[in-house]
Amino acid sequence: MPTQTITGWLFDAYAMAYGMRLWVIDVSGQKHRLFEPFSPVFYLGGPAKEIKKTLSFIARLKLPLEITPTEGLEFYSGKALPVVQIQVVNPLHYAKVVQWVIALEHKKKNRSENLALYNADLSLTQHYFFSRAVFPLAYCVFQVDEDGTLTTLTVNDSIWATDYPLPPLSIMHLRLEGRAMHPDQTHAQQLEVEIEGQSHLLEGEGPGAIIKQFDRMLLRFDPDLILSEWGDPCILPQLIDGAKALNLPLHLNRELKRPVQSRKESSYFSYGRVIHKSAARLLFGRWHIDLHNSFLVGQTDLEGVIEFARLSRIPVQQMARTSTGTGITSMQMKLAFEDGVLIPWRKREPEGFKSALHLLKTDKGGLTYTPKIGFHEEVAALDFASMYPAIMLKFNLSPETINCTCCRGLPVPEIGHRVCQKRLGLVPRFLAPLLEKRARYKTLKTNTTDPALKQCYESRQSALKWGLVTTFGYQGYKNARFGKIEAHEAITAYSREKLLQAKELVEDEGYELIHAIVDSLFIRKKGATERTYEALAQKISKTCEIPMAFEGIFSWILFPPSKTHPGIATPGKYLGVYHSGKTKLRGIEARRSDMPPFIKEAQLEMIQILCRAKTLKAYQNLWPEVQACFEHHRETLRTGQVPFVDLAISKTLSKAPHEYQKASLIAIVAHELAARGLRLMPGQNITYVITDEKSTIKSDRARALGFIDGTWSYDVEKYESLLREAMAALAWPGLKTQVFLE
Amino acid sequence: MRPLLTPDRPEAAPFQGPPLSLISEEGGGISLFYGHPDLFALSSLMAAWRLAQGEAVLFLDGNNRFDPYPLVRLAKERGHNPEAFLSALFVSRAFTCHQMGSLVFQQLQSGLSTHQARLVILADPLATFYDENVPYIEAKNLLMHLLTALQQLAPGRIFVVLAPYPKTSSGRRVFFLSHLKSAAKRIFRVHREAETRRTFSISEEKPGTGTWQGVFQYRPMPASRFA
Repeated sequence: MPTQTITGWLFDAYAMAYGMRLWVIDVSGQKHRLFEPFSPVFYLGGPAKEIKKTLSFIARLKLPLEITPTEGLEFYSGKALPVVQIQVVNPLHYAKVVQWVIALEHKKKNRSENLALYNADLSLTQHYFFSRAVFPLAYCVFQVDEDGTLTTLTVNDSIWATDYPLPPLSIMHLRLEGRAMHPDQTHAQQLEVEIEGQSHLLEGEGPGAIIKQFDRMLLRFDPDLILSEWGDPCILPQLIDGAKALNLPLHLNRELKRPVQSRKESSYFSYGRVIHKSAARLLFGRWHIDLHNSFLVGQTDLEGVIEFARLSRIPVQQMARTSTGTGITSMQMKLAFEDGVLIPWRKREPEGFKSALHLLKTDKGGLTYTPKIGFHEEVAALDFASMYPAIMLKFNLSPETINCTCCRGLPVPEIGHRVCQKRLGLVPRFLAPLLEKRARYKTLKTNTTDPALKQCYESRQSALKWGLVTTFGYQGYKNARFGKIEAHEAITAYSREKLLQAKELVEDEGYELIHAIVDSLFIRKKGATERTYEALAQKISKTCEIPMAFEGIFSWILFPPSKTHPGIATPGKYLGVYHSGKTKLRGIEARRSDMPPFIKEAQLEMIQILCRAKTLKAYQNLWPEVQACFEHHRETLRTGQVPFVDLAISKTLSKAPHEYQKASLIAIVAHELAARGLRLMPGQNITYVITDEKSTIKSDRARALGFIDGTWSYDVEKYESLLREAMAALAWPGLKTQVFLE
Repeated sequence: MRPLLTPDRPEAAPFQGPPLSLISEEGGGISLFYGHPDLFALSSLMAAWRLAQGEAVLFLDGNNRFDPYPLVRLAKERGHNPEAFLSALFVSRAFTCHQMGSLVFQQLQSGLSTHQARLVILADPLATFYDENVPYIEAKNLLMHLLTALQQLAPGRIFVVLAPYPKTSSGRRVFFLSHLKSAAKRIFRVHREAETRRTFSISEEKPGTGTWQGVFQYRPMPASRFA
């Protein structure tokens, strides 16, 4: 049979009947639609009679299945376990077969005779990528027969490569005119499409005109990627619903016979905050990424998403919408898959009973030494580099290595857990190459002079940083497949131990500790230079067995007093200026997401003035300029001419509008938006302007930014008080001026 | 097997009165306290009651509800050794409904035997079942099995389940509380008087032995948590 050879990138993959659809973009930018036969598998373990019962139950489905006895490794013990492999010939039947197994399990009365499912909740693309050892955007050689069926696949790429080429993607930008706000929270706007450097505002008579225009553009330009702003919750649903109602064609998918895939919106808790995940619209053969519905794109640009998709084997569209935690879990599952470890279905390993006394000892976070309040000169900052991942790697911390049953293990400081000495854990093995790759990106970024490449390496290393950060958090996260609360406790125990060691060492060397928080030290010593601090960092690294880096010397650093307890400073809240002139701000108004841009900009202007100072005296001498800056902004506020958008406060709903009982500003605006017909969910952001905070008419206190008009004015007094607080945060303790007394 | 503790201060005044009198009946079984989100304050008093008698207590935590500080304050107020209290209360946290299931199916029996506990407190077990990542049917089936297992283990022991009102955004999972009610032998609704914010009212919905019915005021300690 004649074959064709295509060299290019694996652009998209999804399940079809009896195999996978693969979309390939070759070096000339041409798209190829291929098919590869593929049958995913899952495993059943447990008592033989239970397995037998289950097999005869699923046989009733009359679906083609191949059953093979085999064995795999149990994750926690590392021992071989006899299991039955069930290969589902048609991947489209996979979910149904698994559901039947689960349904039978639920009908059982005796829960002690548990059937165990393994590898059963991997997605079909994960199954494919794992078993074929290929990944999204891998550069490959595809041998294809005449009807487009893949015969051989040779991967000429590695997930560990740092200078990998990417396909030439054609990108269509899709947004509503005016951009910034959630379209539901403001008036209707025109659809704007930008492609090949040209921007088009779509307009036309009749309900279908815009849909027809948009569809013509899709067919003409055939973009690989639709990069939208609010495409998930608004633009695509409106286009799709409109096309359906008017029976018009809409070629969003390249796979024409499939509808666009929809995923429901949801809200969930993460690190004490409610997060809202917007509904998603996913395409087949083409990508759709909504810039407002992607944490990773927001943090790392498209480069970061692609880096993470390649490493995690999660298709780019999905990776853009999922959490970094899901990404790292997928990377860990791939490693387990390669080892022959059976990946347990659902996380079900509970925490063992421990006394409340023991819990008090173990359930702690990082260590903090409260900052010495006020202004300090010549303070050096030293940070443990990627502290938690480094600890996991160095001390072999992983769910299966904590309190293992195979050896007595090494004791974890302070808390009494033990760490296995026989097996190297999955998490450290997963972390080692990731840390190494991030270090390579950082070096590449430093060495290159090309600004575009610099940005690219920065985005990729930033994506890896988020992955590394999440690896620690996921040890304690409920849905982390390879997480265990005891491992989380062991990591923080080591971190406390290491920070304590470092603190004792620097104090022994005659340094004064100004502040220490989790992985950072702020210290000083008269006459100490950059070279002395570098040497000190090396000494700490050697003693603590995890790398510590010298970040720089602050000409000055200010730890402002806490608003609620003025006698003490708030850990992690400071501003400082390095010798290099670079500023570092943490926790103050200019960094807060719920501050109006006007206040943030005013504070940044004040900081710019203060940056000229090298000493406290110079800082104090500059204060009149800061006051003048304050006065200038106050006068601007008083004229009433500040645009609403600059005074807008953006906050996240912690509950549904009707669940708010007190008339807080966020509740008032949530009610306003709900009354306009918006369905708001916990975790969604709303943006508002304070109009009259003390008004007896509650609804007059604040208004949604998207609907406020010229009949309203802003609350000058309130914004003045915010401005004053922003200035007060920069004052050294003891400073009292007329402005503060007002 | 772990020997029973002896009270470290036999002369100390015992913990008594409601809500302890509500759960101290012979025969045991599941007592459900549901309602106000702050009802977990009751758990400290309930635990202290048995701990003061030198018994161990098991605490199955479905939503990071365990707070040791009120328990320590209660111990101090009655002249008990707080460390002895904390050493005899055994906590296990579940973060998913499958973990909660495994905890009840696989660990609870051995926990009861090892620590010879008579009082078991399940704090917010439904929280893990509200997780939308788990399909509704799967969560419901697992919950039904879990409740059956609890009913089997409860006779002769005191199983207290504390469950706040479900959030309305939980969709049809709000009915999980009804399943819990069906499995309970006695049901108490806990609410807070709006005008006196430091007091709870507890009213019985499903009488057990009929020894107590009605509404009473419970002033929880310490005051600072409820001011």
